[in-house]
Amino acid sequence: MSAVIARGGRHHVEIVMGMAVSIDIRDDVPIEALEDVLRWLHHVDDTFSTYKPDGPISRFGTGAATLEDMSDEVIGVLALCEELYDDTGGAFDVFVVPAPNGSHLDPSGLVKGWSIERAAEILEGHGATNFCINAGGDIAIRGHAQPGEPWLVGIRHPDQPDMSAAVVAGAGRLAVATSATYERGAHIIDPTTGEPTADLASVTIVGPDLTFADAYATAVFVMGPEGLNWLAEHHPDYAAFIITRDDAALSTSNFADHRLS
Amino acid sequence: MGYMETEAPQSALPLFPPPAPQNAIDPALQARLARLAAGRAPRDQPGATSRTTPAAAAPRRKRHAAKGSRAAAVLMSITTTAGLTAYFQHADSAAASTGTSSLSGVAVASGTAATTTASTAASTTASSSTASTTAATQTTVAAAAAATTATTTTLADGTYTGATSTNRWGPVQVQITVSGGVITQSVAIQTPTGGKSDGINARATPTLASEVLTAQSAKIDTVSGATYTSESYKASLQSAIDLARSTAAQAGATS
Amino acid sequence: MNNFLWYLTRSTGIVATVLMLASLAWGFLFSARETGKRLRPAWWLDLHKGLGGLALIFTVIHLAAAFFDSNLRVDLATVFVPGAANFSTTAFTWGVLAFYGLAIAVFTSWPKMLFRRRTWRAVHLLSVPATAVACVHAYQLGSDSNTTAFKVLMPVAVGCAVYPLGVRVWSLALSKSQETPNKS
Repeated sequence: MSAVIARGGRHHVEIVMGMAVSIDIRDDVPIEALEDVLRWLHHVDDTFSTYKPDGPISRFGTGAATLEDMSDEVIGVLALCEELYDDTGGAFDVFVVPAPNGSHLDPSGLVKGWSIERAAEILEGHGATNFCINAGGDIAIRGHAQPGEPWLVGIRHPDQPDMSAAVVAGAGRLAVATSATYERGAHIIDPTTGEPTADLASVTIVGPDLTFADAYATAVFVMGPEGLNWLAEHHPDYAAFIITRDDAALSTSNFADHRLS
Repeated sequence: MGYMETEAPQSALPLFPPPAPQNAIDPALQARLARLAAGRAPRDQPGATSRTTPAAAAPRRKRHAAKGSRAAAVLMSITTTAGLTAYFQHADSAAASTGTSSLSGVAVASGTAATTTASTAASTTASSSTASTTAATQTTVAAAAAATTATTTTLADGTYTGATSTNRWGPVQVQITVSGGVITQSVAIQTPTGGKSDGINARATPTLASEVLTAQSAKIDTVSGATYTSESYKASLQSAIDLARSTAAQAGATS
Repeated sequence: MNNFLWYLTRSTGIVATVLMLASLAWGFLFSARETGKRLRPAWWLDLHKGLGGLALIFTVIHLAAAFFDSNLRVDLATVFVPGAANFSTTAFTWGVLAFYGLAIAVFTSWPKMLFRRRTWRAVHLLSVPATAVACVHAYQLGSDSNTTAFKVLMPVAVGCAVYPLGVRVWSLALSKSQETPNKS
């Protein structure tokens, strides 16, 4: 096994939080680094899953528990959700999405990016500097893929699962998050109407922090093409790449800084 | 899948660091969360996203029409058309003049537009455009459709931006990247219209040429895309990449 | 002046839509005899015809400008064949149907009224769905349809046309109830 670590770092796929999380570490790191990340992800799943009726979020959402019963971690996440609600003018709203547990609270739109960003910090705490975590298509990047080579992130073509619509090159700290409706049964609810949104096929956000990249992707999806201007005005350190239903690509001008092709 | 999957971590100690410490939560926010969870109170609407209202056109007043009404209708129609045409022209040129310096812009990268305008872009580059220095990160990725239209091989390497023209979406500049004397990439950059998305209308944009979108010969490390279920993961490009990675790692282990 | 045709496409499209709505309104006010003191003043009918004809002329300019603007990639099939557009097919189809509806309504009345009165009226009523789909076409395809001016003025214009339609339907209902006893 040591030969593997010396040659290629560590690579692992974990099915957790209802999705596949690919962890691709290109450094020599102790196995504990990976173990800690996996334990963290399962902890997040237990705490925030809306599929687990006994989890804190389900109990709070269905009224079985009050805010006083919630841990600081849960309150912190919900507070962040509310900050994003204000920031996005209501386009990001975790309190309207019908959740599988029957409540109207589903913070998974934030929890996914937030937990992966924390997972990246855990890896960094173990000395990893070059790695990539892909959680169901939302990606946190650190360092390089190979010495001197950026990570190349393909953005999935909405109509063709095995094709990329664009390629983002990223080195250092970068997050790439995509919201889309091409997944069967997937839908993004417009909080202002309560109806699924329809204009766009996918929204990709590139920026420093996956917590926000993920949330902005959801918000811009709800806002539609207008969201490009919102993002450019309010968060110029984040870039957006939109593919519309009729396969046109729109992006903020700073997306060109990240785009390889 | 991953070779690690067979050896799930066993360590029982809670090694992972606790989540980042949270700041003290505002009591008002706590109350708000409690209300929202209870599903009782309607939200306080936050400041709506800034929407500017263009000056509404003066309402047309139609009084009791006289016998010359038909002539008046003709005159009014022509005047309105001329006025609107002039207004659109004015709005576009204003946008074009302010647009290039503004950062809060919107870019349109359209394969179809790129294909049809690549030749004109090539001709404008010779006279009016300036080479920029952004070619550093451009590798030799061949964007198929654009490459086929580039018949001139006397182009110097670099990135060129053509003069502003206007298409269906508003003012547009075509940017091409030349590598090895061949156009390897061509995108239409939409200049912003005064910070508003006047020029964007997602309902009416033409189909992107899928060749340009999909002709990615670059090796990809990972894929961003909504992959919410393990079923869709199995069918995804990411799972193929993961498989290739773990296979490579195993090959490295055995050799 | 590369962009002139593009601006012309937009402005003539807007003007043609407004003219269609206006013609519709005038037509219904005329047939409902809601035309002021004199019941059916000739100039009123003249204006209705004039508005309809103008709408057709502006539609033709709209189509020609769209066709000749090379940036738009609108070919002859897109202009004349419903469903032939390569993109935004539905929106273009509405436009094509509106054009045909309008042309039929105009040329069955001018230069001379074709068919017998009953048939003519049925054919002429094509202008109502034609105007409706023209509005849908404008909303779906128009680059200015997301502007506040459009969002405010379009419903107002549509309302101005729907009101006479209501008046006409009302007067029809009234005359029906009055005529029925005399008929048999």
